[in-house]
Amino acid sequence: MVKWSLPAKTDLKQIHDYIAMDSRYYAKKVAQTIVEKTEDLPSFPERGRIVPEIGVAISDGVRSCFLTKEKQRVRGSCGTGKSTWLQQVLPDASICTKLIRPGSCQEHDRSLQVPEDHRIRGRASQDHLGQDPEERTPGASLRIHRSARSSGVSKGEEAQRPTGLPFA
Amino acid sequence: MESLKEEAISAISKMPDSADIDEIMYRLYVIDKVRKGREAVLQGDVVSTEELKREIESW
Repeated sequence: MVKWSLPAKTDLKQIHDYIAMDSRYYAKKVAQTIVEKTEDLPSFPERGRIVPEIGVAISDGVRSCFLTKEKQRVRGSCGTGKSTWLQQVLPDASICTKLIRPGSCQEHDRSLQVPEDHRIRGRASQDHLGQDPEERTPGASLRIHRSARSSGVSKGEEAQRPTGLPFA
Repeated sequence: MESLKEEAISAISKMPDSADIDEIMYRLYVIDKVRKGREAVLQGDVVSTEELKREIESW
């Protein structure tokens, strides 16, 4: 049986709450995915990568693992009428959402009906311009980029380092 | 278990001389996180994945 320590549970809740500021749907999804990742530990207790931040001696039994596959996956699009929201899960597990005009992306231009909480509330952010060539497509206006990378517990070297005082 | 001070000193001494304050703080943060988790497990402050999954449903 896999046991989660209470500090780990608290961290997971914080990750959930952070993502939930944009999307409750994806917040729950990410939390569930992280938990599911730990479920096969009884069969493979040493799976994952030795954590470089802590020495080999201390990291005995400590491993990190990644949440997503290499390939980019389009998770769905939603919208009606004049615009369509396109959501992508990038390789680093961040979620990219952009507003595309009808016809600018035929593959994803179908109007899918999705639950209300699936929709990400708009909050403009430009700080990731250029990370994804697709995001520079003319006619596509960038809306949100929310990273799910704050999980230091289960992510490896690409996990984003907290800035400022990490203990705060 | 190694004392926190020993753990911190050995972790910092293994870092390159050019390490900046953020890198040092981050490393100490990771060590602290792992340590607190292990202490909680030793004290029995744990939940099973099944319980946790049920709890997430209500988040």
